[in-house]
Amino acid sequence: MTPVRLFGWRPTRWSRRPRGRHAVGAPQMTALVATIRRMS
Amino acid sequence: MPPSTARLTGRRQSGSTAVKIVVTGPLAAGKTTLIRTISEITVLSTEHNLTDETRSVKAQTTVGMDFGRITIDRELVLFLFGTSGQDRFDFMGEILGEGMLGYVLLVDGTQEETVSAAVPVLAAFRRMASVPFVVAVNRAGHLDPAAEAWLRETLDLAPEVPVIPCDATERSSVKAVLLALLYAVAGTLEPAEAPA
Repeated sequence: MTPVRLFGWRPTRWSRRPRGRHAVGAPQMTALVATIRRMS
Repeated sequence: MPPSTARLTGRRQSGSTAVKIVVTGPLAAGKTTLIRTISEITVLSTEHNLTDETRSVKAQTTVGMDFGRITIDRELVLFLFGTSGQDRFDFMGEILGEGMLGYVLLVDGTQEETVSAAVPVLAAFRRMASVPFVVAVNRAGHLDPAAEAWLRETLDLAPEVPVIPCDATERSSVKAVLLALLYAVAGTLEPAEAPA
């Protein structure tokens, strides 16, 4: 039995997460740019 | 929203969506300062006294990560994560980089060696995710063309990668860096998705 099975290891939610960026679209990008621009 | 979908979109339990930008770079480039300058919250930092030979560079360094935040609106929040500049915390870059929109590679314009030290950092991030990035040159009022050409060659940058002189202590300067990154990210959206 491998140590992984011995300790009942399962992929964590982090290791199962897909690589690459989260889904963002035009509305989110527009809001991001507008907010950063407005910051004083 | 079921938990599995929430993980894919970065949607948080509060209902707002979180997007992430990572600030990375070699030791003493100014990553923590940059995040402190722009974050709306007191930055969660893991600074600790240096005990090795890098003590001569600075007294304290980030030993895990820095975390800052900018609220965009009720539904969107931007998280800023800063990596440690120490090699022994390289693994944190991979953890912090998951799901990022893009990243800022910060180097110190007054310390040429930080540019060569940034080469492996950039290589690791390029391997990790194919997302837009910008190179910010801290403590540089301006970049003359020869210096920029040398930096681009050393870091093997494509012409479309922005190189921006900045002052990590100046909010307007940090804003310019973040905006350059956001424009680069917007440029990668499908035409139908791109902001008008």
